[in-house]
Amino acid sequence: MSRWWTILGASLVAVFGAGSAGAVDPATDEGLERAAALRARGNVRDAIKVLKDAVRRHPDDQRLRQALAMAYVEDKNVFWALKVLGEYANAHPPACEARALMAWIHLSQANLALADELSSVEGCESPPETHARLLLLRSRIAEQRGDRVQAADLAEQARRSPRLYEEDMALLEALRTRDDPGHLPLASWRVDVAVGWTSNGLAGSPVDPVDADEASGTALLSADVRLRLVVPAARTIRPVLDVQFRAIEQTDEAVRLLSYRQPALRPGVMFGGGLPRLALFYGLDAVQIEGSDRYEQGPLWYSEAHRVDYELEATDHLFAFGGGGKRTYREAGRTRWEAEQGLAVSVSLGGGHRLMSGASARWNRAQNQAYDQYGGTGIAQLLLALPWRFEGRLNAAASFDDYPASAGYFAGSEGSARTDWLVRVKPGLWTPSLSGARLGVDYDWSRRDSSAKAYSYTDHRVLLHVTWALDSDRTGVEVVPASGRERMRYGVGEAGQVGDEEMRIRDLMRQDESVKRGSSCQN
Amino acid sequence: MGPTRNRVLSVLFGVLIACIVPCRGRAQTPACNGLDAAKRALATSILQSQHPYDCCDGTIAECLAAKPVCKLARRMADQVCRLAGAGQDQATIERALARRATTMTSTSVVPIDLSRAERAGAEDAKVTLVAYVCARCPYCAKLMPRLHSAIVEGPLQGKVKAYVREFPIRNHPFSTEGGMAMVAARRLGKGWPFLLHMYKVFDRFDPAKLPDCATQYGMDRDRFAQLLQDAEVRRELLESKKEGVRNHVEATPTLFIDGRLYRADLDYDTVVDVLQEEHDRLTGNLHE
Repeated sequence: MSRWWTILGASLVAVFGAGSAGAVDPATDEGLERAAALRARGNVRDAIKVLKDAVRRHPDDQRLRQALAMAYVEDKNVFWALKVLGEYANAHPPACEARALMAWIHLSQANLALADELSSVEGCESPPETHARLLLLRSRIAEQRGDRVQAADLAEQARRSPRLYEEDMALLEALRTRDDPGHLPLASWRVDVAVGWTSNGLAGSPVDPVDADEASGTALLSADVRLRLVVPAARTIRPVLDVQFRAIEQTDEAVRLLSYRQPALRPGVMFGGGLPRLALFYGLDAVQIEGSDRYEQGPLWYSEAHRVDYELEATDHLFAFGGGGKRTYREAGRTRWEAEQGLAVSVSLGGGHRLMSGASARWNRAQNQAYDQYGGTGIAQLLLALPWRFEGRLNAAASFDDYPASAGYFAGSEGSARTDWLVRVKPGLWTPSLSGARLGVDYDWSRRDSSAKAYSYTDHRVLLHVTWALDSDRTGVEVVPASGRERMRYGVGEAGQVGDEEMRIRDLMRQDESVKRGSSCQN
Repeated sequence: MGPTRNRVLSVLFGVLIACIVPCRGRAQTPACNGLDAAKRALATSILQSQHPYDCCDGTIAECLAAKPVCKLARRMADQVCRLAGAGQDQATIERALARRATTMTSTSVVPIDLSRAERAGAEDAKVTLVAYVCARCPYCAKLMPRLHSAIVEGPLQGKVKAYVREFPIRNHPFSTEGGMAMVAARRLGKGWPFLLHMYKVFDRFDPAKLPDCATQYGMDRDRFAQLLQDAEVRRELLESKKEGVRNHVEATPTLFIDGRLYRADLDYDTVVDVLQEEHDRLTGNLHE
């Protein structure tokens, strides 16, 4: 099955990618397409035949030459790879792209002297991504020769390029991670704006209304903006500031007043140069809802919290978080002390697929004991690497909340204490990242079964997302995507993979908060 | 009866396959014929996995089976079998092939000043060999006379012309004196003969006797002796060495074929073979 995905992916890359590279000769594209399909099936020898024929007819087409060279490399025939590139380089000086590929082949053969000769940047100052690639290759050569200082200097020069090939950026990040494991960008951010429709506008609000299953569908706009600043004051102790703003705006008149905004600020200190790394925060957040209450016209500030939180990045794959504090509501009886503890893990499943999962437990002690609460949530997110570098995401969450001292308090509880079960499933499809930006669409199904019947609900929600996740290290760098050209196979992941990982774990936890919010017992 | 017959047919079929498969990849070159079974198996394995770097893009074994046969495939097969016969292991042989390929596929041509160098071989020979040598380098003393002979009267005659550039190695005793003698003899038009003489008397080299020896080659003793002390000769020797350093010469002998650094094995057979290959390449004579 995966083989068919690969074939389909390779064909799509060949068809669409070639088009994006501005090719105008359909015969060239056809050759590339056929060869890509053959290579994807592991039939390299036939791919070579196809590409040789295409090169014979179009000897000046660099893409064909590069594809043929890479096919030869796959056939473990590096000299013919070098030969077809060398012929092109001789006929089209300075042929920087071809020379870079030749240098990479020599480098992979530990032939440093020739790699060095070919990666000369003379005559290759533009385009900048090619210049950066040659600098990066020279950095690798210097590293192989044991000259770490020159290697770092050349890598830094490459990093300053305004344009980078996607795989070169990934390599630079991998090098930085290796050479400076404690490095964090000065600023990192994530913006997620979504529009869509929900079948139950009552279900998405921080207010947990009675008769929640009286469906009133509405269009909605969701925004979530997060910014983290890390001041590089010292290597092992660094001030941190998290700023966040979340909002849900609903359009239908019946539920518009449940729209809300939630700003949050978390100054803190981060301890640890590399991993494990501990961050301690003081957190202030507040919720403003559109609606009014008996005392004041909306929008009004509904709650605010002062908390102490921690985040522990134990390893690249293990993340713990927790905290507690006091949350004050407009109605004094709901004001509470709260605490929670959670753990998230990330596991690679091979083939670019990943599984992330997390679990958290919470405890609330309110002024009105009917709102005292114990609960827990389990979440899993499966990330599937799809053809053409699309990504499938399948999220599933289950949550349980118990209100032990609420017997007879909540509507529909028929004299017993309230307990809630919430189940949520969310499949989604996301486009490849382009300079940190992605488009995504997801369908979110959730169902809550409460012993207090008036609090049970079902919701179907479809959202179209635009996200932009980036950091200051990558800002100002235009990434040249891999489609329509031969990628250099450095053996590292895609650009931004490391940085995105942390973001995704935070995403996961955000869902946890979302689930928790649905059980917060405010009305 | 049926199962027995099937078993017999299976055995026969297996024998047939066992014969055909190795036969297809078997080293098909005279150098391979004298190998014992183990070395032949090693050579065959290499020929079935390594590729020539020109004229045929299959494996060496495939190229030997194709018509017309790529001459380079034959040369590489010879080299593989020669090295296998000498007891080299697979990794060493593959590295040797890679170095040869690197030499011949390199596009980097270094500048070498041959304006005052003395030629051996025909002026119209297609291939130019330049050797940076030290007069007191033991391996140069073995290789250079044989190469010279191959060029002027052997298999490279009419194909290759050769020049030497002086590159005295400090660790070699009397390397400067030898280098000065090389330049002096060259200035007097007897560079090659005198270099070959110094290699001939390598083990009993005596700088004091150099002027007397010069007379054996028709040079004026006093003029030669004067040149050995000449600052201009010393400067020329220094220039030659500096040029070598610029061209990444680190040891002697270092060869350049048509300006490309020779990185392959320095044994006589391989050097001659590579020079013949270069001649074939330049004359378009790639197939048998």
